[in-house]
Amino acid sequence: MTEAKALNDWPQPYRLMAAEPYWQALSEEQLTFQRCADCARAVWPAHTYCTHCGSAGLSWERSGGHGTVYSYSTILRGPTPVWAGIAPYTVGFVEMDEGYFLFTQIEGDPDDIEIGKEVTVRYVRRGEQKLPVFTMTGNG
Amino acid sequence: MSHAPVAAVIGMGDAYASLENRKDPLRLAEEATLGALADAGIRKDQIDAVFTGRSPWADKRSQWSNIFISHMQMPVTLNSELTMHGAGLTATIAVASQMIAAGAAEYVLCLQSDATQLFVDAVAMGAEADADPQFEVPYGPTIPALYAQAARRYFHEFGLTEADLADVAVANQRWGAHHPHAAKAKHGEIDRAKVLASPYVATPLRRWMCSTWGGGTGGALVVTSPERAREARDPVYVLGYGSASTHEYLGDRMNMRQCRYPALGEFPNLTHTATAEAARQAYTRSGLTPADIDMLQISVNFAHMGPIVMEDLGFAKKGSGIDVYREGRTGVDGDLPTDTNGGWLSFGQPGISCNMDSLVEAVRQLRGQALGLAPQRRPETVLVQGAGGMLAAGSVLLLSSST
Repeated sequence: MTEAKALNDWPQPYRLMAAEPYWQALSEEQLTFQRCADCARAVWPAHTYCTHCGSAGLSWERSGGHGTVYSYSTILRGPTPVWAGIAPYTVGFVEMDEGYFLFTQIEGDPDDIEIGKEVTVRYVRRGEQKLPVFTMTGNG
Repeated sequence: MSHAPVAAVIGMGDAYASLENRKDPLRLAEEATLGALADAGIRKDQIDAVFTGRSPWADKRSQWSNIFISHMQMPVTLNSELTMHGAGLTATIAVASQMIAAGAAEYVLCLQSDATQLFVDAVAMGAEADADPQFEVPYGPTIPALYAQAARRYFHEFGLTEADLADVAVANQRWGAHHPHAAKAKHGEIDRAKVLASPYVATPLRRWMCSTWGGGTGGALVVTSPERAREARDPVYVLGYGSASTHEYLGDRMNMRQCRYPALGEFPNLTHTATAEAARQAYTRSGLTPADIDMLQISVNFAHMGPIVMEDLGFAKKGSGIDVYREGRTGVDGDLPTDTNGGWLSFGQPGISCNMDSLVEAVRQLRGQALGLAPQRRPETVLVQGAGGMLAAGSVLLLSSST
């Protein structure tokens, strides 16, 4: 029964402690990421120490919510009923303007999506969780 | 010139299941192990250590190697799972070789079995086993869609097309059509048009460019020292090995800015894999080069991985791996027969055991005991490459019938 329910619901993120600020900010429709105070580089996914220089000086910043498509794939066959219900849908990596790569859903006609195209964040509710997804900049 | 072998495989056992002939992973492992012990001419209480890859999809209990030795009533000094996905299974031979070289074991058993299609709904499991449960799974990726991220980049960076990937599927199916246990054998040989007419699973990958979950397999190998192998019938020598692992989740890989292994190119990229570093280690350890290799058994779960792996193994420069397929080199009459059981694309992936299927096929070809097609000239040196996870890890073994 539990399993059948799970297959008919949106999968919820397995929230780890380091990313709590990320998920909390999303509930207020704010997209955030970490930056290292010592090496100034963006850090993603959420960490406690900088993956580039090992510093503990990570702080959360708000992203402008813009980037370009790095790669993508449109899924024709959803793995469970909720996904089958929205197929075809596109997942991919967005290279954020702040210098990190976010795995996400890219909305819009699959034929319009191309590597290098500009995209902008918007928020969708999936079960309990608000998630950032992206649309073609200018189409939204 | 090659260096002295580091170990030898003196026993091989394989087992097969299908929808009509169901066997679970324990049964397949047992059958393969008894075959390998008989082939090696040793008893189970002579096995000092047992290594497996991670738990079969069709029997996900953790500590599966404990479960196996317990089921076999086979006490050992050490048993473990190498968890670099499928690459870990390939690397069991390396760890066995190291134990033997260190004098810590006389005989090591490396095995795996799985039968995903017969016991689990693998599509519903989706990418949940291999995608980041925090940052990827909430977007509903499937395994093909994660691999497709690399295909899309590969097309973009090197100008390949779907027609090129079709040629990989066609080449593998030429072998698979003639193997009695290949999941796609029933379809016979195919052409480019057939591949390109098949529906998309996850763009740009069409159905014929994707592996299928096929049946069930088990494979077991008994590894010992080259000295002890002198008394064995048909030993297969381990000339070299290598492995590397760069990540678990694709999102982690995409956010790495550098990598200690130069062969993996500038980061971030999705077009080079840990196999490049694994191959470098194996060539260095063995003293061999790609020119010494007669045959390949590689991990092509999706068609673009054929050329990418060819490049990572040093058979073509980056972006040109498709030429090895286009020129017919991977075929039965080619100079580099590849995936001679049909490979993961046509033989199918019964589950975690797919890397063992590649090893079993290598041993069978080296011994002249292929179940499907074999090139006219029996290979003397076979390279086995095992990948694992979402482009996460790679292992390479160099196996030879001579020292």
